[in-house]
Amino acid sequence: MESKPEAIITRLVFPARSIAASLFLVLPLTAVESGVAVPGAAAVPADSGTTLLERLRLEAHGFVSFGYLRTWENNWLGDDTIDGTGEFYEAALNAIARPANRLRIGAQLFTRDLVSYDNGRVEVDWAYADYRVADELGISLGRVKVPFGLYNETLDVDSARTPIFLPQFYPLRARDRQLSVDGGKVYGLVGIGDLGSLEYAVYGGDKHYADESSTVQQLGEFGFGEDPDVDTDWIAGGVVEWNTPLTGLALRLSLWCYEDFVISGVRPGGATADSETDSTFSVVSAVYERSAVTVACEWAHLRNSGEAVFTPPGLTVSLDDELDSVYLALTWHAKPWLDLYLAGDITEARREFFGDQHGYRAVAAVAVRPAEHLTLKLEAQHNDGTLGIAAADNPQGVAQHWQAVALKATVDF
Amino acid sequence: MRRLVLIALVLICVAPASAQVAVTHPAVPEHALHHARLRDILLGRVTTWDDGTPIVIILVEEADDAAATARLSGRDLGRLLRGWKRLVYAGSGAMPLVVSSARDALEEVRRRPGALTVLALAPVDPAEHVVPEQ
Repeated sequence: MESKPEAIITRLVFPARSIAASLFLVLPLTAVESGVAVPGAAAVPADSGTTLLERLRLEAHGFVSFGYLRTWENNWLGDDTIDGTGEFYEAALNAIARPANRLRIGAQLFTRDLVSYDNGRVEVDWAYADYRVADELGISLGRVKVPFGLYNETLDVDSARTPIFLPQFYPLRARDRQLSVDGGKVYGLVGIGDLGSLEYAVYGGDKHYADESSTVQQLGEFGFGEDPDVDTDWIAGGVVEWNTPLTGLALRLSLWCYEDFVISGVRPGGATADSETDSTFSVVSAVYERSAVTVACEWAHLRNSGEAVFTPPGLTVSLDDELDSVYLALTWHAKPWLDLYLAGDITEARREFFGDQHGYRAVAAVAVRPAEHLTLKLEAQHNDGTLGIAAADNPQGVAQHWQAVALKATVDF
Repeated sequence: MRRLVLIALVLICVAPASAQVAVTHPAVPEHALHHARLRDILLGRVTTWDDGTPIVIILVEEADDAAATARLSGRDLGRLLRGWKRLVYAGSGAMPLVVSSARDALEEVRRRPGALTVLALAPVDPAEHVVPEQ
C-alpha cells in the first residue's frame, strides 16, 4: 500500500556568501519558488484528539507592572513625584478565541494608576470580532485599537519595549484619547514583488469618553472645569507601511483625524467653557532592525483648528494650535536578556492662546529580562522645557530643566 | 529526481549554516512557501493559511533551530516573542507556542491543525516515517 505523506516539508534557503555555496543554494530556492519543493515528507500522523479549548483555540494572556517614579525640579503627572511615588502600575487581561477559520474574537480589560491619572479605573481596552478574508483583507468590528505611528497600538505593552515612557507625541496622560475607536477597521497585507510588501489599515468610528477617564481629567486641568462633557462626531484614519526589500527596514505613514471634538465644562465660579475643534495628526515613521540593533525615527505633526468660548465674560479664543515632534531612538540588544536604549526627542507646541511650549528630552534606558516572563527596567530622562508640566502640580514654580528616573517590573503570561 | 537528490545534498553539505526547514501540519494546504511569506508569518503579518485555517506557530528553543528561525525572521527568539506580545496585547494575534526541542515541535505540529515550525534540519529520526519521493 502506498504511503501518503501526512506532513509537508518545505525547504528554504537563502543567498550564501560564497560562490560555491550559492551554487548549492540556487537549486532549492528555485524549486521553492516554482512550488515543487516537497522533496520528501516526514509522515507525522495527525492527532485528532483535541480538547475543547484547543478546538476553540482559546487563549488568555495578561501582564502586570509595578513601578516607581521620581522627578527633580518639577512634579510630573501629579503633585508628588519630586518625593517619589509608587502610584505607577498597569495591568491587563485578555482572551482571544478562534472558533472558526478566519474568525477571531477577543477582548482585553486594562487598568492603571499613572500618579494622579486613572487611579485603578478598569476599562475595556479592546473588544472585537475579526474576519480575515485573505492576506490582503481583514475586517475588525467592535472596539478596535488604532494603528498610529509605530507604537500607538502597544502603548501599554511595557514588556515588549526597552524604554518605560514612549516618545512625547504619544498620549501619556490621555491614553484613551486615540487608543481605540468604537467602529471598524479594514486592513491587510499586499505583496509588491521585489519591492517588498505593503501593510495597510483604515479605521473609523466614534469614541465615548467616560467622566472619570484620563482624557476628561486632563481637559479639566486645561481650564474646562471639573469633569467637562467631551464628545466627538467621528474619528477616522489610516496607516500604510512599506516593508522594504532591505530586510529589517520599514517605513510607515499614519493619519488620525477627528471632527467636532466638543468640550463643555463649568469652571470654578460658574463660568462656562465650550470649545469645538477639528484635528489632524500625521506621523512619518521609519524603523530599521538589523542584527542586534534597532533604530527608530518618527516625525509627528498635529494641527488643531477651532475656538473656545468662556461665558462670562463672553471671551472667544482661538484654538488653532500646532505641534511638531521628532525623535531618534537606538536600541542595542546586547544580550538576549539585556537591551540598552538611547533617544533624543524634540517636541514643540505653538498655541495662540495657551502660548508656545517645548520639550527637549534625552533618554537612557535599560531593560533586563532575567526570566522569560519577567522584565526589569530603569529609565533616566533629562528634560529641557515645560511641555507636559502642569503648573497646578508645581506650586513652587515650574523649572525649565528637570529630570526623571523610573523603575518598573513587569510580569506577563 | 535528480533535483531532489541535489536538494538533499544541500541539506547535508550546507546546512545548518544556511538552510532551514519548515514543517507544517498535514492539512495545511500550501505545499511550498517562499521565504518572504514565511517571514511574514513569523512576524505576524500573515495569520491564516489560504484555506482560512489559523496559523499556529511553534518556536523551538534549541540553539540550531532558534538560529534557523532568526535567519528567517531577522529577529532572535526573544525579540520575536516580544514582537508577538505587541500583537497579542494589541488584539492582533495569538501567541506562538514555544517548545524546547525539535522533537517536541514535531509533536505539536502533529497535534495542531494549521501548525508550522521551523527547524535547522529535516527530521531524520527513524520514528518519523519518511516517505520517499515517488
